[in-house]
Amino acid sequence: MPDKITFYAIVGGGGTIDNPHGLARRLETDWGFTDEALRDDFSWSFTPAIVEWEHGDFADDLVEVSHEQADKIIQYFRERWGQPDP
Amino acid sequence: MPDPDERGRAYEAMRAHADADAARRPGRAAGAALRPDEKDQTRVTRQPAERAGRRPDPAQQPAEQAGRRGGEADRRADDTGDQAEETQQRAERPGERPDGNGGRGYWAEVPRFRLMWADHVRRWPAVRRPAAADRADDPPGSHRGAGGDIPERRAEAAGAIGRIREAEPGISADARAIARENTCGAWLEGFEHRLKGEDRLNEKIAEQLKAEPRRRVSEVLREVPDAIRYTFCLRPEDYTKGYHEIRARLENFGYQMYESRTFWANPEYKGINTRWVTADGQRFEVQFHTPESFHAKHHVTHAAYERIRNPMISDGERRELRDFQRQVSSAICIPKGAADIPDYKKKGF
Repeated sequence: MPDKITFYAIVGGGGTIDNPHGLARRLETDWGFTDEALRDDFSWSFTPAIVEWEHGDFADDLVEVSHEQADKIIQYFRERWGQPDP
Repeated sequence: MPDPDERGRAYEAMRAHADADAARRPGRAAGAALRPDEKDQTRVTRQPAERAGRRPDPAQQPAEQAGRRGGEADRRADDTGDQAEETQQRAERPGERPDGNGGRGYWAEVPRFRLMWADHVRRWPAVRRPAAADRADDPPGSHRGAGGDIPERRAEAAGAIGRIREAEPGISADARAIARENTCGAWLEGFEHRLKGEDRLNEKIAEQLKAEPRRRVSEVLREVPDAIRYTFCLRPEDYTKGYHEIRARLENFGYQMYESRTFWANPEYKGINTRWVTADGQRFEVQFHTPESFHAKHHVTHAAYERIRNPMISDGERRELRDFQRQVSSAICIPKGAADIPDYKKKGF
């Protein structure tokens, strides 16, 4: 279990956290961290996006969001991508 | 990764430039009143400095010199041997002090960083990136999105890449003009790598689509900010003024800056990355570095950064890699005023 989870809305091209292009999260433990992005099948998989953004090497912006906002974003993608709730 | 020979040439050229630039400064004859790391630079190379557009032909350099580039630079960096003087001079230069490395200059620390990296590679053997293996049978020029191969988009991608290639010469001509005419001693570094390779561009698009699975490829292609990239290097004492001058000169050419991010307070990466757009909508990136921050990025931490982005490494290795990046970055002098240059983001981009 991670000690801390930080969510980031992926925004760009005029997008905001209410209509982001994607969602990423950083899972931190005593041993380090793993970064994941939400896929369109609603699974999570590794992404270099957060590290790249920290280095100014990612095309879009990442905006840290609360866990509640992250839930809203997932719901937003469910509606947009036509996936039913689990 | 740039090939090792190329990295060696860039390293030597950069240090030669810093040496000769110091010699050109009024009242600063070569070897006189220089910081210890600058003194070190005066001993590293004997060839004349060059700027983008008039870089000396590596083939004309003495073979004996070319053959010992990397190790020689490190030995000399390790040979400063005057830490007390350096610490005193650092104390007299508030605003240029590194984040914290006991007062040792960046160049004196490079050999230690190389040993640290060699030790890391020994303890953590490289792991293959899975995407590379998966794409072995892809047709040339293809790329993959979140859902796998996307051959129907190849023509779209090829067209966008073609437009990038068409736009580049005009932007490059302006960048070189700025390098020639600026009054802050800024020079272009890595100009030969200004265009991202097609494979890397496709890889970047695929990575972007994985994080943003339902975006259109055309959108992603249009918004790739660093398909064309220029790096201006400035000496620390000229850095902040130079940033503003080069920005103004780019704007005078009709380019619009839509983003600027200052990383001088970042613990793992130093510099300023700016993003620009031409009147025709072509985006490009301009980075601002000092010789130290450029060297750290391109020649010391690049491999660590690549590994951090690899999904196959362990959390433990990732943590060590970030620690390594922090140690390297902490040795870099921060130009006075650089960390105060505000971030900027234009709405709609």
